[in-house]
Amino acid sequence: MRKYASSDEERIRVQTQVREWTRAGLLEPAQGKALDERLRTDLRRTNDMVRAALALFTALMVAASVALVFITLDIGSGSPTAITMTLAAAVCLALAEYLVGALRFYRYGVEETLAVAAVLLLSLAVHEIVPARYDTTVDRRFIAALLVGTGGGFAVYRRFGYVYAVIGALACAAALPFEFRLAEIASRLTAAAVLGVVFVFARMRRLAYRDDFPGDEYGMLQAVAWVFMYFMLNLRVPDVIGWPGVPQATVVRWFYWSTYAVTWLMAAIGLWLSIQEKDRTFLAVNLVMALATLATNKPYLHRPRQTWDPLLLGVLLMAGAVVVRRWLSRGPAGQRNGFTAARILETDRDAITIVGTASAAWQPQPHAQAQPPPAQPSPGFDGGRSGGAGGGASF
Amino acid sequence: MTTEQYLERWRAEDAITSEQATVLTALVRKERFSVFLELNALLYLGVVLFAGGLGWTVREHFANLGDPAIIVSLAAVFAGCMYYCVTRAAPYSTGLVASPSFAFDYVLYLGCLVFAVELGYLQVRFQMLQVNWDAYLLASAALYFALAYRFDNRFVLSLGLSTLAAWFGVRFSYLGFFITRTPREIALAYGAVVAFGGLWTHRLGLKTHFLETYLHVAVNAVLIALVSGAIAADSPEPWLIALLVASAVAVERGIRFKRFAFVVYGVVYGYVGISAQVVRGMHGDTAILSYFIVSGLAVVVGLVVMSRKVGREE
Repeated sequence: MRKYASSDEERIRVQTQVREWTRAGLLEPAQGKALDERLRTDLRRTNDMVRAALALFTALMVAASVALVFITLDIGSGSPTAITMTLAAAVCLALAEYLVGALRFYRYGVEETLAVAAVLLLSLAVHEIVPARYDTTVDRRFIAALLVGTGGGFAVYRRFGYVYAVIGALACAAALPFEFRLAEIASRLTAAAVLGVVFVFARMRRLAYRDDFPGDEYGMLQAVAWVFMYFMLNLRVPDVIGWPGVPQATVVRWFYWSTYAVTWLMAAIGLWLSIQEKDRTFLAVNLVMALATLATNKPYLHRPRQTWDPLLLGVLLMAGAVVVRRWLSRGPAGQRNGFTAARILETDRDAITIVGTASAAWQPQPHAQAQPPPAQPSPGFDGGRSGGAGGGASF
Repeated sequence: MTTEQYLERWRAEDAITSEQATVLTALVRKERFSVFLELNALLYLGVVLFAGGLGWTVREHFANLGDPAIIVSLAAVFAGCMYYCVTRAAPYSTGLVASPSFAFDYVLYLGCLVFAVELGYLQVRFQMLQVNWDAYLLASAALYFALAYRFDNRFVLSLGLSTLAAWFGVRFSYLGFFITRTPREIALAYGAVVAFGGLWTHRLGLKTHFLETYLHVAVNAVLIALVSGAIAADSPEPWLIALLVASAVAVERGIRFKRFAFVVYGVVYGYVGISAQVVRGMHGDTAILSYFIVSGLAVVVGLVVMSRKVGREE
């Protein structure tokens, strides 16, 4: 089923590790080079930035091509649209197959975009072909499109191994219950149950394969299903990101407070599991969940948020990081239970360098700026607007 | 085959030593697991949240807290951060200097952000610099650059670059030279200054590893300004020509030094600028869509060919 041989997938992953070990000085450069040669496959790969650019321009081409067919043939809505979209999906899929089969592209941007576009086009085709019914509030066309998105995303993952395709499928599956116009509780619980089943399945496979292929893919799927489930059950996340949250009146009291308990429990259990298993991806999503739980605590309790809340959270994070660092470094050989705060691989330093450079675009610079002051000192602090550093509007 | 099996085979074939196999197997089995990145992420997030919350609190509660309390407490935090950094810093070097401690870089960054809060507060509250009020932005940027170079801190360098951008935005809007112009000239001037600064310090051998940060900021500022001119200026031709030249330089330098982010900047910004002009001169959806198909295909083929010739696997 998989287009790429398992041996190639394994070699690519080991090759990546060999390069990291060589950069970290754990292997001599000559050894690294020799092992790199031995792990070489006939698959063609490229730089991540070029991959992103290729994906962007391929998406542009696909969109323009489909639109051109519609305009040239003057295709209206309904069956002609569905047929055209289906044909376009078939062409995209065939091209993706060709690029992988004949040109041996691997994560090259082009073939990935074509495969994903095929699923998208097929979903749109199904949306067009399913007859709309006006005697119900249920949008059957959208449900059908989501079903195709779920199946298509899963199929693309099975065929090409794109983990983000199965993540998209998961998102479509989680969105499905909300389209049946069920009660808020039923929708959320159904979606969470679906995600829970995926989580359990992915976790079993992850534990079987651990970090070796395809265990890394299952690890990602496990983490995403877990975090989706969390956000499905945390009713107060929208408050934090600026959207109105779920009013308590629309859900029964027991459900509201159960979800409050679940948000804390999930973050705690997830952190415990990820630390036990030393699973980096799972640890990262559970740290995000823990932060989200702290951020949504006050909205859950209907307490007003204070200006010093982020300040206190900042102190908590800084203190936590420093305490954990000290505790680990004071252990025998600078580690405890295998955990160390020391940097081992260069990729960690690379990540910090990238964040440091990119932070020029989002500096939390709290200067008041960009407007001349009034002639008289202002009694309030409402002058100024945000400037080039993205600072706060005023004092 | 698992990674452990590969290691075992390489050890048996003497491709790696037994000691190397032991160390690498321990890593693969996660008998040694680094949380360096996670702890750094928490520390960075903590600093950003702290500074954001501090600014918000000062803004909302200055009347209750009172000027002395705010000024003294902010100054105390800033002084504490600086004291920590000065007393623990390694001696100055023009090269790369490792942080003396885990929290060092973030303490310095926190100090700079608190300094920004304090200076902004003083200026807005007391307007000490009157009409030259923007001078504090320039002074702040100068301080951040000095601290970034002294303590080898990329976060503070980025803070200096963004503060300098803010100063450009304010200062040049007052100058007669730019009074009738648009912000794109300011962005162009800013990008040029940043690029020059980065190349100049690199030439002097001062923290040469900072060059890429300068260039990322400068290239984006310049190309955004030129694209803006090519799309929206009254007479876009000079802007388009300049954009094409700048994009070509970015692509050529990016390929030459294998910094593919710059290749992508050149291709994407150049494409947007050219497409804006081409589409403007076209009539009819068919022609426009055909253009996007043909040009998109050309870019994809060009990038694939470039990638095959000079790209690297990652």
